Amino acid sequence: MESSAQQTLPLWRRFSIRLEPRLVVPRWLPYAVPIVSLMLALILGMVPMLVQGINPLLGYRDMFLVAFGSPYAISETVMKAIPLMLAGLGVALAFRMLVWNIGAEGQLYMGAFACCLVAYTWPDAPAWVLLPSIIVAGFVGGALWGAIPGALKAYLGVNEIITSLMLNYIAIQWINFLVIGPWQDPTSLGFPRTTRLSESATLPTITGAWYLPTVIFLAVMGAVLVYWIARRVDDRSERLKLGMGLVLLSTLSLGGIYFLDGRRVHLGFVLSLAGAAAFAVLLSRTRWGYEVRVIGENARAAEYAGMSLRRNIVLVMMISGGMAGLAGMSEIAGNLHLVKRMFSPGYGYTAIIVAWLAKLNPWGVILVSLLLGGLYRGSDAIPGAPKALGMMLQAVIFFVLIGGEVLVRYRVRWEGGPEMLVSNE
Amino acid sequence: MAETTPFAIRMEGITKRFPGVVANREIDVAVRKGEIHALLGENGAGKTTLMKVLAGLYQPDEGRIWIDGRAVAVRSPRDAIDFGIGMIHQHFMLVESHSVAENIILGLDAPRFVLNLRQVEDQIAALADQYHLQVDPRARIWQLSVGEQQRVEILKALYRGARILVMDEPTAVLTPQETEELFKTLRSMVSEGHTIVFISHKLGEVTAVADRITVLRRGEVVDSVPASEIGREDLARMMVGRDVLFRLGKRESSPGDVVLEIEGLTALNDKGLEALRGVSLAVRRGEILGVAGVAGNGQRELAETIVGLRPVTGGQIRLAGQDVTNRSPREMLDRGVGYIPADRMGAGLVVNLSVAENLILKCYREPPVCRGFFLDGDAISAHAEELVHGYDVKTPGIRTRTRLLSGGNLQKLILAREISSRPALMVAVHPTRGLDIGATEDVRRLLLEQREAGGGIVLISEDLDELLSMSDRIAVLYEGRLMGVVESEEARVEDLGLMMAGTALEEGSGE
Amino acid sequence: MADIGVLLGIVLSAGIAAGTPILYGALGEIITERGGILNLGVEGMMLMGALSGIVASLATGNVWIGALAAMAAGGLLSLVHAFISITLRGDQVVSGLALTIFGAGLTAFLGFPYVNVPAPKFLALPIPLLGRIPVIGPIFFQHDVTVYLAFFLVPIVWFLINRTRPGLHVRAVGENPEAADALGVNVVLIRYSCTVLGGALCGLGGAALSLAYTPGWIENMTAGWGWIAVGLVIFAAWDPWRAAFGAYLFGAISRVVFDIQMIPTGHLPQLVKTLLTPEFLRMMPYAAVILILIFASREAVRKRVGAPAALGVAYTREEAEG
Repeated sequence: MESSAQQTLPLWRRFSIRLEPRLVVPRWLPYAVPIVSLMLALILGMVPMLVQGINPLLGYRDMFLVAFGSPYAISETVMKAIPLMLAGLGVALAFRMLVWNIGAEGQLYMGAFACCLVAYTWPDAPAWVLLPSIIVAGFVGGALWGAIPGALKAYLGVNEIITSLMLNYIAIQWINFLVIGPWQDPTSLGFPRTTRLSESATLPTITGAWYLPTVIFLAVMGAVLVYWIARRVDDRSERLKLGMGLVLLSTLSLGGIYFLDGRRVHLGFVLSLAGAAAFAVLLSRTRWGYEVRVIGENARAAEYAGMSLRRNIVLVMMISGGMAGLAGMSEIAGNLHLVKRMFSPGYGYTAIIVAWLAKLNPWGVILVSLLLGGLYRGSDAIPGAPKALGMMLQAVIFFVLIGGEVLVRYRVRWEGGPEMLVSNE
Repeated sequence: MAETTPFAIRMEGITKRFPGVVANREIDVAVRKGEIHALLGENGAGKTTLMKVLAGLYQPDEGRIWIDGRAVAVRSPRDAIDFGIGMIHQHFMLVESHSVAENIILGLDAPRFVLNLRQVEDQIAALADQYHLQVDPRARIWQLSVGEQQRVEILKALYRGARILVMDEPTAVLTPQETEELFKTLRSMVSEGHTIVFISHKLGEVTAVADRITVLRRGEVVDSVPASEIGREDLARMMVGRDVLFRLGKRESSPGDVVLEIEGLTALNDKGLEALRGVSLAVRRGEILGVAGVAGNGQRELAETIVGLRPVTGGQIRLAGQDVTNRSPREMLDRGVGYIPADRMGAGLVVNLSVAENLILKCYREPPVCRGFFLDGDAISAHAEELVHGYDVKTPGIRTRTRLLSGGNLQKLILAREISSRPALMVAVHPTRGLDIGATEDVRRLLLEQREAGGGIVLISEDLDELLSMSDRIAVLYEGRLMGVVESEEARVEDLGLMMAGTALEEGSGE
Repeated sequence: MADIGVLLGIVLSAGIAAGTPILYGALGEIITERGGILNLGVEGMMLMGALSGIVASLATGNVWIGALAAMAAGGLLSLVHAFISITLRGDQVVSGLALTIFGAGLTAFLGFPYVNVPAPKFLALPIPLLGRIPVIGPIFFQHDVTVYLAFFLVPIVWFLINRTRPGLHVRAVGENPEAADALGVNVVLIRYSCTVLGGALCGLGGAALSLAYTPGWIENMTAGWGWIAVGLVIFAAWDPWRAAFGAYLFGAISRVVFDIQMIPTGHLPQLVKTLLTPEFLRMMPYAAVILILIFASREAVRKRVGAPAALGVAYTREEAEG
């Protein structure tokens, strides 16, 4: 009972496209991908703009000018970037441990709440007392809010994405309540807002009085560090990393001088840079940072090494929330000086995009925040859809980036197959 | 044209290669209709691979297959089912939360759209009666005992009209009573005209139930004989072979104090079944205790209980006299227990971190690596350099990410990390698996050095040669029980084979 | 007394209307997750569906076409997620999040011209006889088509999943893809189908919002309800009936938030008065979701009713060494 059926396969079945995992990842690829994704996203972003009847090239040019075209523009971009940096650092830290903190927006609001609580309770305290207090309060407010989804995940196994997200909406309503209710400024008619924060509860702007000496001091320290690195650290790639971090830090600090003449950039900028440096040191050189990285990479090995998963989940959510809280605090005490409803244009959510684009690297967070801050600023320039254009472009960038990540891991291969299929010979 | 042939299955010249290993090499097997045919062999002998080729899960690189005299190409599991072959895997492929009936009809084309479970259940009940395979068609799989789950797998094959049943290590998870039941079932299926192929490493069972036995070793057929014509000792010899054993220049050791004592240890495996049934062992300082046995007889669980990664349900573990039963991994670590896990990339290493960072996994909480809140980069580097040179780990640098290293170097890395913490006791599971000759020698040398330095080592391995040449004493695990412990100098391969296949060492049986 | 009765009736009826969009989302997500794929892009798909519905119905003047467009939008977006999750075996959490952010951003931008533009919508369609039954009538039978469709969908989805052969395959793929694969079930096809179908339902949920419940388009009009649908699936233990119960319950809670403001509060203690302000009331639904999730996680531990065993884990057919 032999059957000898032969089929000639049609053309489309003879070849297949396969995606196969790469064995070796070229070193430049992980860095090229975000850049290419960015460019691709900008190109894709032209499509919706065209749909809206906007000339994309002109649109981009205008956006760029508004964002980076003048000292005023740059300083305003930085103002937008500061909360992104702070919240982005927090989100990146949590993501390193595979804890998905989507609640940065709510933690931001709660940080603002805590800071105002202190500021309104003791408005007349001297600045050297009040200022540190509101900074600490901002961190604590965000940290406590972040601890909730953290503890729920660690001890009850509840999904942290949904819980942190729900807490966002709750926090926003809480602030709304305060702004309309107990904290409302009686003189605000129609557009409810809180009373202005007192002088001493204001983050100082960058002025020559304190910034210049600080930078000089830092420059000296930097030189010492460079010398130390050159002498003691032998490994080339390590030197490169440290060097780049230092260069970035110094460039940005020096760049701060640019803002000396009466711009609005405030202490939050310094906090962000300090945060990034602390983050980098924390992750690479401390015991806890080591634990975070190991847990995020291989929880089983971490368990074997005796690391406590639960404690670390809560801790990382607290620090992550604390950073977002600082973002909220800096926005209130440094930028707005009072609270309005929905004062955040989605900084907490954009921080997620920032963290991803930056590949969870602290200096990357700083750079990307500046970029996306520019996006926020620039989208004000286009008539017709202010905030939304920025949002849309961010979304496209994020999306293309995810797709691009795939190309890092896979190759596309054509395969020619057999011409005939022979069965049961 | 169909030949009237006495053979239900004929496989000729089957060769199957995987990267780095030839699992089946030119295998010829003939299974007569209506017989119970056993495939006997150790781990890695190639039995499962061969049957997976038959069942359409693998494609052979060379060779041909005839079913009932007809030459066939089995390209997928569906083809196998079409040809009347039903395979029952060692690890059941059942959906736990579904019912028996739902599992049995999974993947079938009928019923077309709407499930008529009532009808199916009746059919299953009828089938079950016919073959004396009692099981409730409406029960959920997780409610059933392992023996009952196996019956579901058998019914699944029968329901699809399988005439040939291939069973992979079917008694691995059964109690003696359930095993008897199974054998009764097999005999009755044969009387209904089915043919059965039975993969096993258990001599006792194979000789009890099989009509014919084919022995495989290292991917090749050793011989194929009727069961009535051969005895256990000969089978054991065929299974493990008589290879030249090379001694690695092992010096005479003088074992010191007892460092590890296990008494009556019982533990469960991941499925909640008993994996260890009252094991008692002792290991001294400066001694290597080899643990032999076919995989799945409790070795992994033994290692994990000692290291603290698996809870103990009974018995005691004593380290240097102190009771350490059910302590956490960290505590065991602190007390000086080292662990080389079977799966390097799993619990052993963090592949995306650098070599240096992996090397401090166990000691990062103590000085000199840890300085208060911070980690001392210099100390980490120094530590890493020392270990990398001392253990000859080939890596571009200590900052290289571990995932770029070869298997042998990864293993040396783990060894370096574990040994450098100077453990009193080391548990090594399959330490040379998958390594090339050079790396294998290095690893063995390191273990022997550890032994000479006074450490006690529990060496779990599937490679009898390795155990014979490295160990001072060898213990054999079978179904979670200790079959015997012999001095390796005096061990006979046949005895080991017998123990590994289920026959306990009798007193005075040819030392 | 009678007042409370009437109020209760109003609340229940409004609860059903409000819960319908979430129910669509939850049903879609149930289908997707039963097949083993975790889709966190529900919020984005609902938004895309909502906007597509408005745009299409404005363009054609026909709400039904709008609804179809919404389903297409949701399905298309989820196709991307399916591609990333199944073929590329990418991280399902990140992919879903990306889709939500993408959907939110894109709709915010493209929807700008449509904000508060009146569009065709599904009109209330009281059912002739049934709608007149004293108590039950107003609660169940005086809604629009989207609500009625949801009524049907719940038992249909239940039946399809639990009592049909394709449904059996879906469930098997979600629980143990290896076993299904070994028996010749096409795991990839089933997972793709579940994801796209689920996404289409999410899109329909968006249309239920913009073309029926809160007609019109406002930026970010789902306000997190897509996420609530995801949480609801967990609470519902992946069962359509419980999902319906949960969705309507949630709808009722959000409605109570609104209606409670009508209750005279003068005589109540200050604390309670504070709790009854709109802001606090708006917090309630979200807090309720958290509590529900906590409850569900403990119940799951107790009752052995958990997620599909292979949820969120990419499947590869292993060709391991023998």
